[in-house]
Amino acid sequence: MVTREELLDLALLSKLDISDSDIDKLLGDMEEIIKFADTINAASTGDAEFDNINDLQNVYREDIVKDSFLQDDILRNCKTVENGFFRVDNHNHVE
Amino acid sequence: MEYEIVMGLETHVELSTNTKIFCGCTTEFGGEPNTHCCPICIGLPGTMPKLNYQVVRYAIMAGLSLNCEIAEIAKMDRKNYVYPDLPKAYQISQYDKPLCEHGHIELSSGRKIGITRIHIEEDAGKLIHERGQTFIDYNRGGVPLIEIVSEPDFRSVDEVTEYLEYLQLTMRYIGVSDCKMQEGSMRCDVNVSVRPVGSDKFGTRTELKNMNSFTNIAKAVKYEAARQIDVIESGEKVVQETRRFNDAAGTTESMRGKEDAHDYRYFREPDLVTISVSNDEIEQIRKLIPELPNKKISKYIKEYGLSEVDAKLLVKYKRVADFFEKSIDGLKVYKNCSNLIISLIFSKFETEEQKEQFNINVEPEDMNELLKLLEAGTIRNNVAKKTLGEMLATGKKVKDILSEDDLKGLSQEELTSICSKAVESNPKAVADYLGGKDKAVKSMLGFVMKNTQGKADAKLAEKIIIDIIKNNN
Repeated sequence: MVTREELLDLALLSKLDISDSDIDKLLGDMEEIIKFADTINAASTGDAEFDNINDLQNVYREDIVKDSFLQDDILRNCKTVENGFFRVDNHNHVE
Repeated sequence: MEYEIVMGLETHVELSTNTKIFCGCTTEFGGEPNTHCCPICIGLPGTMPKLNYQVVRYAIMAGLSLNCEIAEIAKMDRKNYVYPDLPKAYQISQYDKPLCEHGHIELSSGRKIGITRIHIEEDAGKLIHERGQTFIDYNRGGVPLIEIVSEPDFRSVDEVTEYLEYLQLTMRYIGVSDCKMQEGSMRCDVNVSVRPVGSDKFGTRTELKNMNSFTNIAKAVKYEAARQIDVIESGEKVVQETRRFNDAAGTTESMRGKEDAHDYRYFREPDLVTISVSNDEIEQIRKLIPELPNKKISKYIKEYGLSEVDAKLLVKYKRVADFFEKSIDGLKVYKNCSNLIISLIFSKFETEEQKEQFNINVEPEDMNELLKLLEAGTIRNNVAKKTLGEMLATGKKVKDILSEDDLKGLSQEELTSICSKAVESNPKAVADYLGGKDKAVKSMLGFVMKNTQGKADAKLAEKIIIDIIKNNN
């Protein structure tokens, strides 16, 4: 069961603005998502090995420099930016 | 009660690749903040990392140089933690299947230090804390690192220093890292505990984080060991935790409780495939490893007849050792070369960095030419020094500096003739010598040196002078 508070916390952490009218619908969606994960968890997998399901190995890249992104593009999704840095204002967890 | 310090080291070494571990962004140091970044290294959802093969190659080179076994199968794992230096909230590292395991190095005392493992991982971004805010630059995020984990085999600070210097030198020789502690391309966490001498049980350890100089490591370990002994002696228990060294106060202070592996909820990185290393591949990589510094030092001492001090001074800087080896090509005496490098060329440099760079005007072929003249006795040591000094200052070649006359050297006949003149023109010195004053020969020697412009072999000239005096009397 997903509570209203949990949903609002999640929205805050995800930096999503959601309106009150959306909350009930989103609560339903979240329930469905979690149920889906429960369904997968309940599947009987026997002795199947999931460690490397694609059975691929040694997919490598050559050590050749490619252009990086522009600073503006890198910072675009961040609301608090200063002098080219990401800025974290509320940093209770940052020493 | 007497206590013993027990230490283990986790050393992070930044690899000198061109690009980051999982994307093509440059690893160049510095740059404007967040300009060496792309969606992969800033951890945007939906991006796919792809492993840089040079990282695997370098890590295997490091492993082979430290006598490790190379894993046939290795994989990458996610180490989960929430801290803004890594925007994904996890670091891609290796947990239970690292690339290299079970290595060791031998200290000069003959004690072995075990290398538990070497794994590859990504570096985190740089955080700057100011005015209660945190500023983040992800340029360093995703730069490849190897973490070299040692066994808790260290019993003194000197052993730690010797080990780190050994790692630094070895990594530089094999070319996988510049290992500059001051720039953070080599960083060290030290696990410290104490126990009563004679005990075979380990005490509770604390971890000293991110030590960035040999001096600080020594200070921090000494302080921390004394603190732990105090705690135990006062009947309390040492708490397992992570501590940081406060450089200004010379003390260590608690940062956070020490995490155990389960705190990181490691799981396999689903976006990266298995690393499989064949024996052929290992042998190919082994061929890339040059002669290692410890082998070079013992060769210089045993085969080249250098002192241990001189051998270590030359080998300490790879470019110097390369220059030395090229310069002695075809020679019989190697000491002339090491003496000139250490006494003359080194004096031109003020910093370790400059010795490391070894930027000089003289090619090893020119040095070789000069040394050949010295070895053949064509020129004397003082002329060699003066000539090399001028070569270093002006970039001129040997032949541009030494005159034809210099290059002819001095024949035995010429020397004998000048020695005879020395004896003839110094009757008082001759009388003094005959009167028992051995030192009187020196004034005649001075005459010889002056009249040969220093080209004469002083020992030989002295012998000739004495022979002439004896024959005359």
